[in-house]
Amino acid sequence: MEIKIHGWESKGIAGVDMKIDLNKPGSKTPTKIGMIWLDSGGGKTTTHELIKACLTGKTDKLEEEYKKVNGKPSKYERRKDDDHYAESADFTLKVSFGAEFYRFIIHFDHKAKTVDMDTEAPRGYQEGYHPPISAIPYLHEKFVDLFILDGEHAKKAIQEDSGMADITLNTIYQLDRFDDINESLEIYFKKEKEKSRGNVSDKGKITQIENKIITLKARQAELSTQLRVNTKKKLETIAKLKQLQKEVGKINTDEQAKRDKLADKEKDQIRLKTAIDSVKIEIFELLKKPHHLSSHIAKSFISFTKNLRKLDLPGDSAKEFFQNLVKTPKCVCDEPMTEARKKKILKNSNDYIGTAHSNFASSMKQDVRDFIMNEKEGSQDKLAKCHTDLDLKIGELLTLDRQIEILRKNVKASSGRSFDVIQEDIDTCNATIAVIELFIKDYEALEININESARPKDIKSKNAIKALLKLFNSKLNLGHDLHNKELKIEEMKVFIEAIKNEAKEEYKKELIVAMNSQLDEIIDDDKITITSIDAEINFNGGSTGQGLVVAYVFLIKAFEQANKANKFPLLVDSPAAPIGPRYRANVAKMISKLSNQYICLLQGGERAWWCKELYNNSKPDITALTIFKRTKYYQKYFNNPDENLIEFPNAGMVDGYKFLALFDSELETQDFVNQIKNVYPNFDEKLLNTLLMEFEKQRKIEAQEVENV
Amino acid sequence: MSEKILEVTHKIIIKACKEKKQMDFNNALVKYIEFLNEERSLEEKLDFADRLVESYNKKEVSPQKELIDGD
Repeated sequence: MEIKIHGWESKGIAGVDMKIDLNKPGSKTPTKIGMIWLDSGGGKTTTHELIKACLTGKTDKLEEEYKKVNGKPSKYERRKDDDHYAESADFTLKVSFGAEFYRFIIHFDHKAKTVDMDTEAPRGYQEGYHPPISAIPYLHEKFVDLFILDGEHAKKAIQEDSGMADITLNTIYQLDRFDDINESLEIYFKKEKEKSRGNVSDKGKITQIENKIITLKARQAELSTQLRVNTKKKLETIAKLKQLQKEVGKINTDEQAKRDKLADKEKDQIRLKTAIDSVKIEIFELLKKPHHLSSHIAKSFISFTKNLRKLDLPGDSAKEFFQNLVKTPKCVCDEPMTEARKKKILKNSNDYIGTAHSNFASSMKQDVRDFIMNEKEGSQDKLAKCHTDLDLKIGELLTLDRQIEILRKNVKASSGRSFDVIQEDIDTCNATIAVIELFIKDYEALEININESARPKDIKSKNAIKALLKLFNSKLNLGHDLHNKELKIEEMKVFIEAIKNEAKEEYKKELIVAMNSQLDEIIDDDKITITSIDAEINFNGGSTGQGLVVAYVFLIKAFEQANKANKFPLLVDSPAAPIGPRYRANVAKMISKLSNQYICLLQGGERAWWCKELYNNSKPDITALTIFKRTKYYQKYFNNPDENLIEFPNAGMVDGYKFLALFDSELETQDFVNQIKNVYPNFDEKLLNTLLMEFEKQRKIEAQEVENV
Repeated sequence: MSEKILEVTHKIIIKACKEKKQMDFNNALVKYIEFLNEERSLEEKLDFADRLVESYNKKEVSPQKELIDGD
């Protein structure tokens, strides 16, 4: 299928009224080339914009123009003092999609400041924008921008850092859809996140748990750092300790005697400490029995036992005796056991102790006899002896400690430091190691029953932190799913991007081959070779002016390659102006060899070197139209009209290349100068004058050629 | 005019998905690309995004493990 533009009609819109028919005479097929010259202010740019709006259906931008101008005429509206001012205006584009003909009509209501659109399709006239469904993928704005373009847009494709080539490839090969998909994945995840948060009833609690997790992780990192620092410190301390022990080992001969004495004393010290520990154990054993504490307690126990014996307890005092008595038919007094007697005896039995108590009393009696009354050696004497022994030994130890201390001060190592100073260092090292080992022990401890309300800074075990993290994370169960989804989406996005890039590289390879082949065909004098396509198209040979040829070939070949069965028209606003005079002929020649429909909207200064080549190389498959305003300057064309003149209220139009080539444009030279300055801002004035002379000469030659024909 | 996905793109998607054993994802992705032939609303796109996520196989990592293994 091929999209073709057959013409358009403009009524009441800023600029001139016009009715463009690009079809070959008596045919429904447009000529391959359409060359339309419009005088300055004729509405060339407006026409370009409206064609684009018709194809995309985007009329909202047109309507926005009313708001921008704040009550003044919009860019699509004529001035109110214009003789041809109209309150409404229409623009109609005639297009074919394959064999189907469509008309898109844009209505401007300048009074109501509204813009509407209608579609005339094979199935009938409909309000709104209704293109054929199969063409929709190619009628979105970004895509249409690539075939309804202006010269500047095409030029950007070859400009360094413009990124235009890359954007174009993404659009033509539909690679931008991968970006759309990745973007939708991002939005999807964002929504999922919001939804999950919304489902949690207690957001405060979630935040609290999340904060706890953060704090715990911080504590985990802190402990981990401390472990590293402490492990290093421990190794250093152990090394220092070894050094100190070596220092202690190195001693002068003179000091040896002192040292031997010190060693003896230290041995005594250890012996004495062991002896003290033994006495302490003995005292504790004695203190386990209360009667050893005081002779009064022992006497009380003996007296208690004697009293029990006197009372002949517990043998006859058990209340079970009375309880058994009531079961006999007769009482001990040989009287019958009546109910009244039974009741009285049972009541009295409560005044006597039972078997359990009497057994306890019997045991007590036996223990007092065995351990207190029959004890061979007086335990209290033994305890007193132990105390005395302990006091003596402690006193002895204190004396020994003092002696050792003095000896250590006096005994000096080879280093000159006294033993006590060295010992102090050794003690410090040992204390440091002990603290570190305690830290490591705590760090490695298996704390299973950890309290979840524990403050993180109080937690010393890594296992406790792990357990708590597990606990809190399980409380945030929802968060896990979300987190997994996030990881999944990130992975997907990378995968999608990789596919996109691989596809793009493949397209580029094919495109470069196709472009070079096309360029070989159309440029024979100054060969151009495409080397790569990155953000822009890179090529060897050629010149700045010919760069635009590259841009056209790039667009056309990319369209062809991406949509082998499809062809798009190229409609270009001011195609020759950005090229510069030197290369115009070459580009025009190349364009005439393209298989796509090509329509150019020309302005003053663009005819020279361009129209002649385009015409000579395309005829008769070309339409050349000249549209001029109904002004004083152009009145001559109305007074003495060409046979092909079509008159509109504010303009005239003539079909035919001869008229176009000979047409006397009011601002031709000025427009040309402006274009040159636009392409080459620092153009030398002298050179410009020379170029201007060349331009005038060329115009005359071309006119003469036409006259001769 | 074809509404199908471009041939080269399609081939590359199939090849990449085969390598990664993501054929469900392949189908969902191709459908999504074709679905984008027309201008779509955000809701419609999100619906497809959901299907795409569901079709992708990923071995899930326990965030607890991730958090705990921080040391």
